[in-house]
Amino acid sequence: MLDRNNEGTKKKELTIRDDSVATAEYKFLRSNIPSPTINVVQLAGGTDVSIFGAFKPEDSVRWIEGDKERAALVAASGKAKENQIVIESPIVYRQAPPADLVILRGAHIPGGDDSINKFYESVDANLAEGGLLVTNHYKHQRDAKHFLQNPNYELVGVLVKDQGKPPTITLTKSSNEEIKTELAGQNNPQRTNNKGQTVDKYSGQTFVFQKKIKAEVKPSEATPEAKTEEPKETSAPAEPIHATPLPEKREQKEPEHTAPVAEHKPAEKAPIAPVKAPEKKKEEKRMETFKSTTETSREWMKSKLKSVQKVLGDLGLAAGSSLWELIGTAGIVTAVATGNPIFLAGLGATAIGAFIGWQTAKLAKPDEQAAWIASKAATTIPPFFPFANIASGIMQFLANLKYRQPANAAH
Amino acid sequence: MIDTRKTIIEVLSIINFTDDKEVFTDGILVMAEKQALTECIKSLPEHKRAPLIHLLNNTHRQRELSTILKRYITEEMYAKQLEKSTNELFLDYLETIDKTLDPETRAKLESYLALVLADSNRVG
Repeated sequence: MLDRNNEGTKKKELTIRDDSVATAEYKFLRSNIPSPTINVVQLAGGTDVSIFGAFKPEDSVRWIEGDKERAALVAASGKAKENQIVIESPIVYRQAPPADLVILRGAHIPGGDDSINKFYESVDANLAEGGLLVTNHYKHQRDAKHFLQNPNYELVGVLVKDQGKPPTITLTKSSNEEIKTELAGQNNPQRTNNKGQTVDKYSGQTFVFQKKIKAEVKPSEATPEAKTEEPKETSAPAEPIHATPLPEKREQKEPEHTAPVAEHKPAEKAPIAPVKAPEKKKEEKRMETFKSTTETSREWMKSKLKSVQKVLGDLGLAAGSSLWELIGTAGIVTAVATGNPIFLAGLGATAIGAFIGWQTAKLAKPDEQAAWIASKAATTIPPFFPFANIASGIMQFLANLKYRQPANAAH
Repeated sequence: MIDTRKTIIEVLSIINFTDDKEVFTDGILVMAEKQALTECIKSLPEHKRAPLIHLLNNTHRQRELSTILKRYITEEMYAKQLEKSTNELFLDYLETIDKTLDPETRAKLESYLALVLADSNRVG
């Protein structure tokens, strides 16, 4: 299945160029993106996106980029063909949730280095930390080179299609260095491709990068000059790592300073005791000042979803069960905003209470609910939360601010 | 009564949040719902929670899900928990982004929130 959320509104013909490649890619990606829902952004490339052919019915794939956006971009640019994409406004994608997987295939970006750099910025802005980037640019490996040299990315897999062998995604620590050297033009190893032709060893191969967690980027890595990476184990065996899950994405700790909010009481009756945040390490504070409010907000949202998923797991709820679909997934608002009421799983993106019927008793019949959802879709999201009064949260925050005032002033 | 959604959107404007403010606001509110529901399930006594989890794990239709949950969780429980979750979440968000604010923005935010509280007390 491709994309349940867009299934009713979009039909995309996919050409599966090579099933075995798709399977190898899928195996690798799935072992590293264990959540049932994968947020995918496909940037560029035609319709021969092999990985989509390998997703299974039980996968919930949210394909964030839609044909409309692509068509609009292409039309606006006036200089790209139908199967090309021009990112003139990277903001287009920024409204989407960060993706677990970005597929970047054969992007042709006219307009010189500035446009290309903007494009890469857009890719970066859309990929969650710890997320995977798949690219197999055929011409000069430009995309692969870019991400190889980007200290925020780590090459974690290369799909190899040697003649007579099933394709596998392999990466050894030594081949990581070899690939860097080859792509830097320092040597030129050859291989026989699956058509029996002799080609550059890595030409046309799939590269899988993982976006590093920001806190893990060491100062020494954060310079463009840092082109080579010290192998972690120089005597690493040349074994494929395709079945080995990558390091977990960052588990964000619940902020320790969060004040438990007491039962909500009217303002005049409730003197709020300030809650002192525990002292943070200097380094942590320094990192925080470099993060923008928006970036921090995005990360916060992700950490909250992880917390919910953890609770679901702790309760023993199976990933893939209906409840998980309803509340354990990212819940993309646009899933409902498509106005297609058949995507009930997309209700997780809007009012869970309303879906269950706690606030919409009058909409008892499923078809009425569906009609209601469709009608609400036109106005995006309805105001569902008349009783979720946030007064106590505000009071607590103001009290905390007052308590911290001297420290804030110093900051 | 505070208009929660409007207030959060306004907060996002004040703090110069650059993504889509409405989408993010709805994300917070939806997250509060998610937390409320999971907390409701967590709070059930074991003899109720175990069969509920069993049923939920074997339910693959969203429509049945609603019926099952309503059997174990009352609207009142949920409403109470939703208010708690929304407040906790909003406070947590404010505390998180507070560290990224410059003093001027923080002062603006403080004034706005104080005004929202004052207004709600006047009306309520």
